[in-house]
Amino acid sequence: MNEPHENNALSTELESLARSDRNEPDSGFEQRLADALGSHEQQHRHRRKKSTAWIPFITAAGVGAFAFFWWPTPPQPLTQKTQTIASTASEESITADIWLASLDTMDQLFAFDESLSDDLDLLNLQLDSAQSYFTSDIEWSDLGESL
Amino acid sequence: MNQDGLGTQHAGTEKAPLSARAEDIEAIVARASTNEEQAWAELIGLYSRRVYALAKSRLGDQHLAEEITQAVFVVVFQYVTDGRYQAKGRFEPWLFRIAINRIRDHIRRTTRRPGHTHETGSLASAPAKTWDGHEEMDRLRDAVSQLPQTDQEIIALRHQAGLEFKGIADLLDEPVGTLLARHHRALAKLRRLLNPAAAHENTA
Repeated sequence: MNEPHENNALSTELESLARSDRNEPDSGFEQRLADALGSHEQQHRHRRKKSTAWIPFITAAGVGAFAFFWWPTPPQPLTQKTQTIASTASEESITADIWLASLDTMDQLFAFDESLSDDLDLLNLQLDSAQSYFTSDIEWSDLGESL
Repeated sequence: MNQDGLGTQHAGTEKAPLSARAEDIEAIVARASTNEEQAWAELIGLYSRRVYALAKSRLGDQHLAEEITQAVFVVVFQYVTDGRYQAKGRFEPWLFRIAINRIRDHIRRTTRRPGHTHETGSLASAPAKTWDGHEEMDRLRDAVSQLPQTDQEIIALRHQAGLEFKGIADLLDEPVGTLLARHHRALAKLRRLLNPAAAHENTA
């Protein structure tokens, strides 16, 4: 027998073997494969939907935030701890407040201070004498110049 | 399904490969990428038994062959539905490359096991006696399993998987001419294994 003819015969035998192998699986073979693909897809989808990768990060962030806001600060040994029980505003702000409140309040304040009261009396006296002076000898326009 | 129905008649002495037209396959793959159930049924119908036969011939175990076939289709499914399939127009070689890589991995893992005795040949060297009374088939299977791994692979890809030489060349990244020569040599070796007396006469 020549070689090509022998090769043909051998190829035919190999084809028969292959056909036999391909026909070996039962009729449910294709369906099992389709089911395997279907279940794989479901698993894949399920995995994607129910991903829990974010949980550790969110938990860590939550714990960190809790610790930041609620963790008691330890006492510092070299700093004097003071506690304010009550406080008043500064003197300047009180004065300003009084000026703004009313003139009556201001009068009351002056009444408590004798020296200030004397000064005010003297000022009133000077004003009275000046008023009489203006009316007699000096024109009001001159007063503007002198001031 | 008629496995030979989609085959294109291949000129020459060999039997017809089972390859469908690449354009038809790509159309099915395009539909399959949208997760169309019918398209997947068609792909399974076209290729599953060919992948099975390839795995069976190389590993010699029905369950293992089915397992590998499933694994191959799962990988194909993942790539096609995720849009990672890039081998446009070369679906068939791509699919069988996945299959052959799986089979190679399995053979590599199995032959690494301590106490493994298969120095040459594949795991199919002890053929399963599935065809009672088909002694010729068993003898042929046994002879194939005695060939070197590369020759077995070419025989399996050509006959069991039903690939064209062009497809095998694409898959193995080798020139078609080289593959034709290797296939021819593999057949010659197989002939000698099946008929040692005739081979001895020829050499004498």
